Amino acid sequence: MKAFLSKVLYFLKETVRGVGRHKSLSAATLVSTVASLLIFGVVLLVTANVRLAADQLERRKGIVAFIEEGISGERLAYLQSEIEKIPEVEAVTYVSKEEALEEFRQSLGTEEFLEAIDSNPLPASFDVTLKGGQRGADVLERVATLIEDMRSIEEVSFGGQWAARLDRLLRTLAILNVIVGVIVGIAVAFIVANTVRLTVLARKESIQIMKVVGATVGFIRIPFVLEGMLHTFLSAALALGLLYVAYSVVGYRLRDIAFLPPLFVGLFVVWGLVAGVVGTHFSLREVLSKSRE
Amino acid sequence: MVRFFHVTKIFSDRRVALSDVSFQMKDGELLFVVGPSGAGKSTLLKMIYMEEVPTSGQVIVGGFLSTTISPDKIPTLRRRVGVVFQDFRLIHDRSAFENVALPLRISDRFLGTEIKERVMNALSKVGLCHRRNSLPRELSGGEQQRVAIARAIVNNPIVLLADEPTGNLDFGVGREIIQVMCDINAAGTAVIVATHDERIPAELGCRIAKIREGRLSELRGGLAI
Repeated sequence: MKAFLSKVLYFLKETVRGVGRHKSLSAATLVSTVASLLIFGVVLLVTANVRLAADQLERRKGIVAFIEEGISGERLAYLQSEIEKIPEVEAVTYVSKEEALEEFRQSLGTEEFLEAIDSNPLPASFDVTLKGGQRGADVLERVATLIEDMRSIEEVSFGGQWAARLDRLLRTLAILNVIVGVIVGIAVAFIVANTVRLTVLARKESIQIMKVVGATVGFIRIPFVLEGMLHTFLSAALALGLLYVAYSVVGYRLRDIAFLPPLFVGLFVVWGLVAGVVGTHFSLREVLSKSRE
Repeated sequence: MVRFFHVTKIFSDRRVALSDVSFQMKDGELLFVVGPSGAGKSTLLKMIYMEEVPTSGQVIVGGFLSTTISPDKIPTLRRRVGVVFQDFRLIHDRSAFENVALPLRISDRFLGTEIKERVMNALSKVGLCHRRNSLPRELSGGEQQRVAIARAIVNNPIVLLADEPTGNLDFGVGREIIQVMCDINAAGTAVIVATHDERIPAELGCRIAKIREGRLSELRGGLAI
């Protein structure tokens, strides 16, 4: 147990020393990995905001069902419950004639036009919101038809063609985003892995010496892997910090820009760590395979 | 303890490094392998710490057979063999103490205080206790080679191998280094020194095996073949 603890302590010391001993190399690799991770962070930030914008646009997709005049409160409640029973429907909000007029008045911003009208010509309606993931143009049309067929519903509006166009736009955006994200993610992983590789190759001689004096591959590998992880973790933290500063300065001017959600922060750090570990692994394999085990 | 049975080594470029080499070394023996560059001296030593494997024949070192040893056992063998090189091969960013301590830290058997004792003991054998905190670049060539020797003996190896240990040193310092090795041998460790310079072993009256074009010949001093 004592020997095990002593070895763990040795590995930790070696990891910290490894960074400390090669300050200039560490600083150069840190700059390089932070810069590339920052690019990845920007792509993730754009992705997160595109998703957010898409989600907001999708939320606007809904159905307005206009109700015939003069139906009883009982019938109104029944209609609302019937619409709510449709599986794709998330919420149904009743908008009375008075509320509709008030909304109209606010959207016009003037009273003059309304003063010319004696009575309220606007019908009462149900605003129907669909569940997330059920807002495609085809679903929208199907649900609209179902509602339209109900007795006491005069007319249904759901912006058919507009919804289909929005669907296509969002799909294209999502595909583009994934393609760019994957390309940048892979490129960044290569840069980080190669940068870590340089730090390993710079210590090729030390590795060969350790082999000659009887170090196992595992013994040689562990401090390098830990150092690679520490390095990329610090780089990821620094890149995130810089990204946040940039977001605070630029995002302040642009409205409705959100920072990376926790899932993306996790993805960002894990991606950096994986790239660091893979880089360490392959460069060590390259150095260790040059001579016999 | 070290046995070569009809060992031949042919590299991938078809160069014959060793040709039908057979010899045996017992505990505590001292052997100088003398020959020009490219004669096969380094390959012969590499066979002992199993950096190279024979194309044919067999090498036995302290119970490890080159034909059957598994890759995971090679580090165990190397912990029982000390190696010194012409270019010292010290880790430049570690002190003399840390360089010498390396084989002990690698092993599971030693803890802090024992490591310190053993390292100081090895450094005292090469007369360098007072330079323990120096980095390799702060030491002379002779001192660096002494640190390398201390590192090679700190684990009490069954055999100490030295590949041209005086190659980077002037004659006087080289003779001191060879004397250190003779002292280590006198304390009971088997030593094999590969060198192109016959003068020092001849002067010291040591046993010599000549190697030329991969063939071992002219064995003097009772070495068993």
